[in-house]
Amino acid sequence: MMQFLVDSLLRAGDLMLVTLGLSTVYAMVRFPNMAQTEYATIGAFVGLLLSGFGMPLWLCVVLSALVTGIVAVALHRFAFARLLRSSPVIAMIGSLAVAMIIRSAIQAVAGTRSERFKLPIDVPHQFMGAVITTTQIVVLAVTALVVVAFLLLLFRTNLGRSMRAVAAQPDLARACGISSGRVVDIIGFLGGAFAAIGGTLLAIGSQVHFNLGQDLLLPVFAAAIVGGLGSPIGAIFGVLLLALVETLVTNLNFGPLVGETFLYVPLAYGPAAGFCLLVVTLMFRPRGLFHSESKRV
Amino acid sequence: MSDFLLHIAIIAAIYGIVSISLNLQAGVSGMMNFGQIAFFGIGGYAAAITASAGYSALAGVLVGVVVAAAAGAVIGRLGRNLDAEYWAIATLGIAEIFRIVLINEGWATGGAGGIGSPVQLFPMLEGRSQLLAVLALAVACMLVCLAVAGRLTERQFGRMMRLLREQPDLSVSFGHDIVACKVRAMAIGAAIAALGGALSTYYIAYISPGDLLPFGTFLIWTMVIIGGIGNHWGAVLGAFVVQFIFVGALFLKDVLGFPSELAGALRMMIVGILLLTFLMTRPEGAIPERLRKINAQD
Repeated sequence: MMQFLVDSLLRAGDLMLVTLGLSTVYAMVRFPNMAQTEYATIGAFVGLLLSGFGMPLWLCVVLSALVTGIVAVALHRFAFARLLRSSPVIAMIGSLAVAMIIRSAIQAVAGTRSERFKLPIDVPHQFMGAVITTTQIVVLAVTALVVVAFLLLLFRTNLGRSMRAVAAQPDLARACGISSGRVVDIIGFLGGAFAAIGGTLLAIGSQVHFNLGQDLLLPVFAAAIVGGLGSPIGAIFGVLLLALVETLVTNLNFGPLVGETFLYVPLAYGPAAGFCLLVVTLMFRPRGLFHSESKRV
Repeated sequence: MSDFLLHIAIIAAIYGIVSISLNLQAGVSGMMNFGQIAFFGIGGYAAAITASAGYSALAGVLVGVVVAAAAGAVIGRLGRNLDAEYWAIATLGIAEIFRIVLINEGWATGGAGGIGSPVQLFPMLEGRSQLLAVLALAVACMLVCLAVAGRLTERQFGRMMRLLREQPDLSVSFGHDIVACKVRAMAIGAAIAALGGALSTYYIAYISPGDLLPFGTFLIWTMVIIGGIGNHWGAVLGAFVVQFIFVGALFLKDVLGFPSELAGALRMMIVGILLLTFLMTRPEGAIPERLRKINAQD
């Protein structure tokens, strides 16, 4: 039981920061940026590159977040802001093109082999019957720290209030003297930086290869949509729910239901369970669980 | 004409069929289907499975087309309330569920290794003449699909779909049954894509889940966008351009001296750059959709 919770949490940790970035950026730009998960790959490989120069791990994470954040803002200004003038749909397909370019560039530069940080092998701990390594604990703690820091920024500062105002009513926010361009830039930067931290943590916890962005694309979008695109709180719940469902489906013994002793769903169906959650949620809540039209900010 | 050129042309014609199918949904009807490759897969797997069971190609194509049309109708009905971006991700997810099922139900589908088709399209012919016959069949199918899609687009159905694309609320206020419209567009598009899938499987004599990755759908989207979204001839042109790039990348790799593992990266890069360039400079595509203007002032 404890192991099941730990597995779910670890899976949620893998997806959390990328999804949070995606959903928050969506609230500003109003199109689903399909290149967002590629920022995680960029971040992971920048981190790996820096650690190759012998930098300490924390500095690798910070610098790769910085670099990827700047890349995200630059891409938004150069490509997505212009495409958005046509329509959100055009911008969405454009983000797909950008994702293809980023992925092929990373493949060309970094090759197709899986890469990982050179860390000492650490001893797994027994914790109430569950097995978890020190690295995994640190990765989860850093993820939780970033999420809490972002929520404090969003709900306890003036900047956060401006962000929520622009998300809810862009025109009204501008009329109130909020510089919406600046807010969009800051959120775009944070979205890229979060994805980079998430990607680098994945490389620290396990390993990454050039296809990371493509592998993350659907789980991350499923989680963001289940929670409601554009809602940071929804993104957090969406990720936890998705991770829980994916882990639950492959760990439950369905045997008693059909009169047999053991009947497990094959492990490979875990991701499919997540997408089923997406489809079922959309059938009942077409805009996700946490969608609301407008609210007081 | 060498056998290699014939092969390229056959694949391009099959791409053309699939591209028309997406254009009918995305271009004419404005439905953001990001799972089109799954319908191609339904056609392909129906062909391979029926062929393995000893049925003819005609039966395989029929099964694939009917199953895909039914699946398209169901998906169109389930997604009737969704906004464009939600619909896009939902269809992407459904296609991925389909692929995961194919990988895991190896008893019917051959699993991750894929499945072969023992049935050939023209078993009585050999070598060059067989290739020529397949090419003739593929081009004929493409022209039929082009004609069907063109007729549908010009008739009342097409007018309703374009209105649904541009002004959904107005469309409802006119009393159009927009759910039925969406269901029909999905079913017809799915059927055409399944025809392409079945032809591809019979020709190559093989299909695997690796052919049905989301990248496949992105590729079809690229064909539709660069050809001219909403224009069926444009969709065909886009298919031929993308096929040309794929073959060109193979030669370019040799010219530049790239290792062969980078060929995939190179062509994905070229496709991505071409798609982005078109979206930023010419979003209407090479052959734009022609809209009739009635009593228009400008």
